[in-house]
Amino acid sequence: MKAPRLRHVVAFLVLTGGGILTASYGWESRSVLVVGILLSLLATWLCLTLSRRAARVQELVRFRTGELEWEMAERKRAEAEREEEGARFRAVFEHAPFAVLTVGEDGRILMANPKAAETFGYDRGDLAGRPVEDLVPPRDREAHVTSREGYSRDPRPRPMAERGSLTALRKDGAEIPVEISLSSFATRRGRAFLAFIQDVSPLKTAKEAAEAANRAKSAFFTNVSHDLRTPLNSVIGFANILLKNPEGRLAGDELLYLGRILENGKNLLSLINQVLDLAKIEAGKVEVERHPVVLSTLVRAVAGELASQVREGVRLGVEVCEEDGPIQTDEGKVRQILVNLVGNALKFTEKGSVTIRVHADPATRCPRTLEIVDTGIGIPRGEWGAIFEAFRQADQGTARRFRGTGLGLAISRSLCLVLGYEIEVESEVGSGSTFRVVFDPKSDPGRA
Amino acid sequence: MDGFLDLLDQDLQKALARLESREDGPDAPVAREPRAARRIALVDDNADNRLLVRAILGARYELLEHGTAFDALAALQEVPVELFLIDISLPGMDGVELLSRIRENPRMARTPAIALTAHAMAGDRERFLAAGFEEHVTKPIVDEGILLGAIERLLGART
Repeated sequence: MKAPRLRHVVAFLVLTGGGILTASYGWESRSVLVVGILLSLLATWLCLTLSRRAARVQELVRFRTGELEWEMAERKRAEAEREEEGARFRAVFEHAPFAVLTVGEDGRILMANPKAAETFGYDRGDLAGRPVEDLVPPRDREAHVTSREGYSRDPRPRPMAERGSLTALRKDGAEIPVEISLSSFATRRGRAFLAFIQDVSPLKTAKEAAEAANRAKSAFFTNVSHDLRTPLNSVIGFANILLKNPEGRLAGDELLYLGRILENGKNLLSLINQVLDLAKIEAGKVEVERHPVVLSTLVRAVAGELASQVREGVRLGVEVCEEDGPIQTDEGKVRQILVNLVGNALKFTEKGSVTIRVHADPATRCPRTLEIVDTGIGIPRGEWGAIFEAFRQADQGTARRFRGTGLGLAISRSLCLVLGYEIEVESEVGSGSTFRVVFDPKSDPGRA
Repeated sequence: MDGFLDLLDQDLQKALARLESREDGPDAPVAREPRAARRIALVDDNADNRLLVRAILGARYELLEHGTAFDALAALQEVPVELFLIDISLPGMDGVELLSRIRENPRMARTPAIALTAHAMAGDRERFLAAGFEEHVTKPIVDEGILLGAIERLLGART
C-alpha cells in the first residue's frame, strides 16, 4: 500500500508542476492553472482508485489461489485416504485366511477373494458372475435359494447355519465341510451380501484323527486284556482240574506245586486286571455313573465278601451310622475302592482288627468320610505319599512278606480322583494305619 | 432258467430232507431216552480251551467241538444241540455274528447260548447279553462251578 501512495504523490507533483510551468508561459494562465490543477487532481484520484482496485484484485487473486491450493491439497488428501482405505480393504479381502464372497441380490457372485478361489477350486476370475448356488451341492441348492431369500428379508450379521451342518461343492465335484458367516451392505445398485466361508475339513480331520487314536487306544486295551487272559485259562483251568486229583494218583508235593501254579496264575490274573484298570483310568477311559447309594449297605456287603480273607486273630468290624442317607456316587467304583483298602488292611494286619467306619453329617445323615482303620504294621511317615504311586510298597521287604501288586492304592487314588473324592492316610509304624476317603473335600474342612 | 429252477428244487428237497431227518433223526433218541447225555456245541478256535472245557464237563454232557464259526454252522445243519458255548474272538466270523446266524434258523432260535470268552472288560457282559447270549462266562475259568452252574441252569430252564 505504501509504494502506490508514493507513486501517486510523485504523479501529483509532476502534474501540478507541469500545470504551473504551463501557466507561467501563456496568457489566460490563471484558468489554465485551475484546469491543470483539476486535471491533475482527477488524474491523481484515477491513479489512486485504479491502483487500489489493482491491489484488491491482487489480493483477491492471492486469496483465491491460496483457497485453490488448499482445496487441491484437501482433494489430494481425500484421494489418498480413499486409496488407503481401498488398500486396507484389498489387503483384508485379498489376504483373508478364509474365503470371502460378495453376492448380489440376484444371487450372482460379485467378488471373490483368492482364498475363495482356492477353497472352491476355481481360477480367480472364474467365480465372479456365477450363481452362488454353483458352490452348493445339488441336493441343497433349492434350500439355499430359499434361505438366501429369507436372509435378504432380515440381513443381520449371523452364522448361516448350525455348526457342522453345511457342505460346499468344489469345482472338481468334491464336497467340503464349511462354516459360513453372513452380513450385508448397501451399494448404489441395491444390497450386497457378504459371506465369510471357512473350510473346516482340517479341523474335521484333526477331530477324526483324535477319535481314531482314541478308538485305537480302546482296541489296544481290549486286545491286551483278551490276549493276556487267554493263556491263563489253560494255566488256571488245568491246575484246577489236576488239583481235584480224582483218582488219587498225585502225591502231596505234586499237589503243593500244583497249588502254587494255581495261586500264581490267579495272582497274575489279578495283576493284569489291575494294570488294565489303572491304564484305563489314566487314559480317561472310565465313565462315572452316579446313582443314589446307601453306603452302610455297601460297606456291609463288602465286609461280608471279604470275610474269607480275614486271618485268625483279626476282627473285621463295621461301624456305620444307621439310616444314613444315600449319596450320589458310582457304586462299582466305591466298591472297588473299598475292596482295595479293606483288602490291603487285612493283608498288612497280622493281629488286632480292621474297622470300616462311615462318618455321617449329624444333621443330614449324609456320609462325609469313609475310614478303614487297621492295627497292622503301619507306614513310615516319609512313605505316606509314595504308597499311592503305582508299584510302590513302603519297602521291598514288606513287598516280599506281603505279596501283592502294589497297585490297589494307586487304583483307589485314581478312582477317587475320577469321583472328585480325596484319599489320605495317617499311620504309625507298629500300631496301624487309617485310610480315609473324603466325599466332599471342599465343603468339609473340619473333618474328624 | 431251467437250471435255476433245478437248483431251487434241489434246495427245496434238501430242506425237506433236513426237516424229515429232524423228525426221525438223531434228535429222536435223545427225546426218547431222558438219561442220555445232553448235547452241547463248543465253538472255540483255541485247542487248549476246547480241551479244558472237555475236561471240566467230563462225561456229564456230549460235547461237539468246532474250531471256527463256519465249521459250527455246517455241522449244526446236520446235528442239533441243546446249548451253545461260544467264544467271541473267532477267525473270520466272530461269536456274536455266529449267534445271529444260528438264531436265523427257526430250529435253533431258542437254543440257549453262553458267551465263553476272555473279553471281560467293563461293558462286555452287557454287550454280549444284548447280542442275544443268555449268559456270559469269562476266561480264565477260575471257578468251574460258575460254568457248570450256568449250563445246568440254562438246560434246566429249557426242559
